[in-house]
Amino acid sequence: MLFNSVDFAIFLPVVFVLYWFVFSNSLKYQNLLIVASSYMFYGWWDWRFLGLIVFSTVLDFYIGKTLAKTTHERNRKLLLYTSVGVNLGFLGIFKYCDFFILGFIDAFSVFGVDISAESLNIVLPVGISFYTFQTLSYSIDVYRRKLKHTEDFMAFSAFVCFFPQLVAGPIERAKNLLPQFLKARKFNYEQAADGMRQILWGLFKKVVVADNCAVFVNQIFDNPDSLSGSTLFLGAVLFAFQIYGDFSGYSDIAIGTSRLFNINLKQNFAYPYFSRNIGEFWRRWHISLSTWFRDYLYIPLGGSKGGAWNKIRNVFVIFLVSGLWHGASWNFVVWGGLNALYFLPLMLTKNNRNHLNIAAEGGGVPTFKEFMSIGVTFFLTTTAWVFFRADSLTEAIHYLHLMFSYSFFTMPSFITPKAFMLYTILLICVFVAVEWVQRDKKFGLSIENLNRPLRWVIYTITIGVIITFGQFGESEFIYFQF
Amino acid sequence: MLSLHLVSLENLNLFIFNSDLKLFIQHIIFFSSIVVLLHLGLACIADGTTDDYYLKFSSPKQSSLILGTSRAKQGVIPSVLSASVENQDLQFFNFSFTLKSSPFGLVYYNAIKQKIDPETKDGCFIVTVDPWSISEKLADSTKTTDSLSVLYGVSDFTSKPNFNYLYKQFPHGWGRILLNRIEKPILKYYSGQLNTSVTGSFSVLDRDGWLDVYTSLDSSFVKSKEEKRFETYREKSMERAGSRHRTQYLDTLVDFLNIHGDVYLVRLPVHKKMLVIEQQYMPDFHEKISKSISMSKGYLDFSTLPNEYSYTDGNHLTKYSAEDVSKKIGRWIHEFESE
Repeated sequence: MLFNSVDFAIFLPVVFVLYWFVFSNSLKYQNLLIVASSYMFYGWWDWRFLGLIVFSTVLDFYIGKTLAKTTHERNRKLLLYTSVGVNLGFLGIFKYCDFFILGFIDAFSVFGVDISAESLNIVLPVGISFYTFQTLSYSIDVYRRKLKHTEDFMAFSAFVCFFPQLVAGPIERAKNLLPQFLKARKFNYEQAADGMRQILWGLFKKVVVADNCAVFVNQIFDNPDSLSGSTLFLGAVLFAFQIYGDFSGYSDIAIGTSRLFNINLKQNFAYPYFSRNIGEFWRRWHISLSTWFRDYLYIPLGGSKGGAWNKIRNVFVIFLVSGLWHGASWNFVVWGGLNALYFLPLMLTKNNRNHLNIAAEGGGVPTFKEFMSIGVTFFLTTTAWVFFRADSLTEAIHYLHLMFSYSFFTMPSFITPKAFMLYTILLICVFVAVEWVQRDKKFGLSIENLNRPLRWVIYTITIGVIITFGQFGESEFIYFQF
Repeated sequence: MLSLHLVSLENLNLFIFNSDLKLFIQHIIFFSSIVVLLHLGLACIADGTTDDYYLKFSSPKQSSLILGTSRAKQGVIPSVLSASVENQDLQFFNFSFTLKSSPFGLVYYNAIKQKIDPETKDGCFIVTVDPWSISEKLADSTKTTDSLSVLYGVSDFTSKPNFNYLYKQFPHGWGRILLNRIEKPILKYYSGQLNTSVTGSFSVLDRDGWLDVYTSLDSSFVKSKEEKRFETYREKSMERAGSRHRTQYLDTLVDFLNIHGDVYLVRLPVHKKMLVIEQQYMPDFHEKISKSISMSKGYLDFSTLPNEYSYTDGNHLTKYSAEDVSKKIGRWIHEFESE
């Protein structure tokens, strides 16, 4: 089920009414409703893959329980490896099997050995990368004794499959989300109203910003040979806004929807395009994934401790794995590698922890230095996005080759229909302006401090803009494929 | 069951006394009303700028129709036709769509049945025919092809605003209705400066169902479009074959229309290269439609007449030629009527 669909517009109010009007006095029934509705939400796409979620849930619940009872370190390790092996095994089979088979064939063909094998064409279960990481974090934290295991199976199930964030995150940690399913929840107006504001802003980002950009991005990326370098750069910039609007829009809707049920999810995006270097960008983009890799991969590898070679290795490992997490394709590996290259100089010169505050803090206008830093970071990010968007590595390289030609310094040609392109660019400008003004808040429409009449006027305008300029073809969210 | 009932009653109290929840629901209802009202307003302003079909679904029932595919949708102008027939009782409405949406078949037949005023006894119907509209794609079943039609699943052909159509067949947000209403008059104003790109073209649907297409008529641009179009139809001729099912529906349609008035069959003109493709594709076209011809009042075949018309792409007449052709059809009908 898509957030931007009529199905969801009916589904959400029904679950809300049942949750607060029918089951409000029973925590157990509320959790049961969350689990049932989450399975329905997921099964709407393909019910056959529900079995994977149920299996992961049962496995990690019992591993958590057994870990708590087991004191023998070797047995504890064995339990952890079982959880990690099974969960990553599912991910490996469903997501990477074809990639590795084709990789083997290619590798052997380099040495003149032709292997006749066919890819398995395995269907990728939506959201598998997200819920697998979520449930893994539980097993690892219980193993590390950083989290107390739960005896409440229903609450644990709700933690694994909570529908707002099941298919595209944010990837929640058990430490934050699980305790919320263990205690009674009361309706809170401020929380719910804030949730609705965030849903509204998320919808704006998705159907107005991302989906309008997508129209031009598709045109430009499908015909790079006939366009100038500057137009191709415009295509890459529009894709930068498309992917940001799409993914952060999804996160906003997920967080907002959760708040309607008095569940708080962590912030997943913090205005990443106002970052002043790549280190800051990665602290602000897909925060739940970056911190997951930091805590469960980067730090166990040694993090930034040790010699220069260790640091370089760790940076490359985390970025390449992060790239591969996004998709079983060399495009994503190169995209990760490129970001590692961007990040490495900061790391080696110990500048990666600069800019922990927001840009132009306390003021409205950035300094020239800040402005240039933001511009350069955005340029680097946008260039890397080309690998993310192109259909193959060859196409990405070809696109960049055409983009960085002499025609890069010409005026971009406006892709027709012209009026459509002009108002899309205008909407992006408005969007950037709002995000800049609100950059110290959790999301763009965080306007609870304004007086009610002004707030309501802003809501009405936002609704009007979404209806007028939104694309409502029920287009999927890009991150569903990961 | 009883306990659940009690739980519900208890929570009904919550609904009354939990002021937070009550307030939240009130506010949600208020903003939902804004969403509904905005959509109502947008539906009310939908017109010929909305898309290439909306007015065909939101005009009243008709007594005289022009039927066929996009060739007729762009090539037969009801107002010109009505004037040339010289019969003030005949007010034509163009109810043609596209090859994808209105090949002869059950979906189009049912739509026509609903569009005709059932009281009509002396109407006039122009059924345009060509080899493609009685063909089927070999790879697809009739059911699959029918499901792609813009007419498929729509049950209301006359309401204004037509929510049924807008909900089912308008794939964009309804805000596009407003944007198109603003944008198309501006484009019309600047239509003399149309650039030479295909996407620079635009169209507006007239109240009488005729599609007014604004596109560049620059000869090199038209030529490139013609080449593409011929290539597409050459490919089509490999992928398709004549369909008994569709030919039978043409016969059924003519039979049905005869109850409501006079039926005329017309084969509209196309570029000579397109005609060659069609003749090679279906050399026995006239035999195939012979039953329909015999049931109709007359058959006007432009493929046998001098080809003195201009086309936007080799397949569709320009609006200037559409006027000439409509006049010709009108005079031809007038001759029949005066006999």
